[in-house]
Amino acid sequence: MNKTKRIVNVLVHDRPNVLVKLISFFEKRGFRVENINLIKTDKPGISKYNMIISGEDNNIGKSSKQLYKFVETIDVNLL
Amino acid sequence: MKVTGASIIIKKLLEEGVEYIFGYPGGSVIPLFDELYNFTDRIKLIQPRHEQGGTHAADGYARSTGKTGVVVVTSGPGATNTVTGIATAYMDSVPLVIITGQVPVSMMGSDAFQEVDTTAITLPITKANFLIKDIKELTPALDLAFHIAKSGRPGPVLIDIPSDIQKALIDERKIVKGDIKNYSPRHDIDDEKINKVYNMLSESKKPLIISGGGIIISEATEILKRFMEKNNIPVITTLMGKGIYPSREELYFDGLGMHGTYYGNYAVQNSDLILALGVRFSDRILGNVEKFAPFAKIVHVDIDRSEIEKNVQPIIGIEGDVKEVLEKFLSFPELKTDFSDWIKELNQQKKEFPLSYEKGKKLKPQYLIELANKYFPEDTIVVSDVGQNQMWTAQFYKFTKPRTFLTTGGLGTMGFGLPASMGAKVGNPDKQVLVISGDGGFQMNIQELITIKRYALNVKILIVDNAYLGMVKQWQELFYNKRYSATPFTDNPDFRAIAEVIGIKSKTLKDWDKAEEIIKELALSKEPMLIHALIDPDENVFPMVPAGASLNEILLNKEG
Ligand SMILES: Cc1ncc(C[n+]2csc(CCOP(=O)(O)OP(=O)(O)O)c2C)c(N)n1
Repeated sequence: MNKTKRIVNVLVHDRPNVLVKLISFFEKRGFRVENINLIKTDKPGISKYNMIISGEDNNIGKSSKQLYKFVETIDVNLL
Repeated sequence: MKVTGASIIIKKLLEEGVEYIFGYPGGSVIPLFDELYNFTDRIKLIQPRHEQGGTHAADGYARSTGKTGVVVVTSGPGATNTVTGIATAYMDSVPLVIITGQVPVSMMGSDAFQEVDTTAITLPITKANFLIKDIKELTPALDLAFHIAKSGRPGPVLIDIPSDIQKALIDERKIVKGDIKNYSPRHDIDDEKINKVYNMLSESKKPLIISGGGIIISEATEILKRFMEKNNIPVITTLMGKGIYPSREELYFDGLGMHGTYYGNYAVQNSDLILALGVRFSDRILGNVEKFAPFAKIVHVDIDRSEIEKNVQPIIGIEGDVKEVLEKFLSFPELKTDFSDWIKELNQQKKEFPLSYEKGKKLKPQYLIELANKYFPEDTIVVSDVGQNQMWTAQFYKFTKPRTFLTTGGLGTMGFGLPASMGAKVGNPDKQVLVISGDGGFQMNIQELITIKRYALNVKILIVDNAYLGMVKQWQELFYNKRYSATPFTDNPDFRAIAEVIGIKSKTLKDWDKAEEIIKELALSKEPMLIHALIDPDENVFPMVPAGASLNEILLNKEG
């Protein structure tokens, strides 16, 4: 299978440990988190994580939908 | 006026209408228990013998009533003892609020006595958790915790509260409420999708409903029955979806998956359209995903968006509360399509390959369960433990009402049954509660017999003792050349004697011929009672789909 890289943007309610949740989310599914950027939005309490995720198959997109399981997740966007 | 952290917590519990807490004290929650001492007339403490038992009890309370179960424990070992209970609740979407004590804020991070990082440990097994570092954060966290536990897909929420915060003072006027609207999932059900599904149904020849735990949680059982009976659509349930046994038996085909029925699995493998309602397609029902429901288009309805497309690819996924979705379906005119050939086909399978066991000789667990079903009232809450006893109960007890079968489906936690039954009884004092447990699981939280005695909780306990860790032994027998490594429990003690020492009425049951009389006595007993049944150690759970096999590759007995 091919190694792929995707940019995953997640808009979240900013709470302690969201970052930990995001990283372990991808790692336990066999993906690697190559890079993470935290961007504050104009709305207080809402942040955006821009992540570069790599993995052995192209299921990153499909898996990313499960980010909606977190109560903090507002929106998930894939580039 | 200034108020303490502890009084804020208790006030919040009162505001939420909490009548019971399942709690166990310790150094870091003394202030909270001290405050609770002022309110013993309004909030009753149920104190287990072990925090794991208390957490399962709160879980049993929540599953059986639909209300949020509340747990209060101390830091460190108190908190870690709740972990199994929290994970159990998380996997089955049970609303709990767990309040743990923590070492004082100034000592956090110093490896203080009884300090553990509770929020880190419970991060993956809670919907959300909170660590309070300032008394100002307390009210918002409590508001959010109770809201998040119950909203959308329910689940456990934990709040870790350092002991100095419980004692700290805050000016009442400075208290701000939690902003719950940020955590209120919105589901606008897409009418176009509903229309499409209705059209697909009317064109289908072999439709099938799979009803899951979501149907129970959203209180949709009655509306589901109306929908399926109006349109003649056959139904099967997952383990978590039991409680909809309909008045029209010819439409009901029991369970699917590893220990479902032959005809239930046949229905899945031959259907052309599956409506999966509030199910999460766990591996225990799917078998081999590639070969699951080969002829069916799947419509998946779930309130949790992350479940849709997770394990199976539906043709239509609808994100929303199953009850609202069913209400929409029900507003359509009756389907004109005639499904009677399909229903006949399924009933033929049911007749040919029924659930069965050998009668009249050795004492069989299935017989005891059928007897219990006969002598206990219809609204009895039945709690199982894990293993063969759980599967037999699911197969042989007919659950006609929601919230009457409490079982740990997702985590499969041995030791769940006995404590969960206590919580069920606390929440349903007017109903009978029956727990059916294996000998192994019973011994995992056997100490809770003392709690049952202390609070005179009238639960009925049926231990089906096969002197083995039966379910594991079954796998060893079928797939590991009968090498019974670590499964014999031939040294089990006399459970009747143990019950009696604690002060619980008890009987031993060995013979088929005595079974009816003793199960009847169990059902009629006015006080808690335990039956220690010595069942045939060689009995197995069939049918069985081996792990990872397709639902077609089902074993009907040891020979295949
Ligand atoms: C806490 C825990 N430990 C281990 C297991 C693995 N396990 C699943 S079923 C089972 C056997 C259960 O034996 P028993 O309680 O006697 O019930 P039976 O299967 O005989 O009805 C075991 C060990 C488990 N599910 N939970």
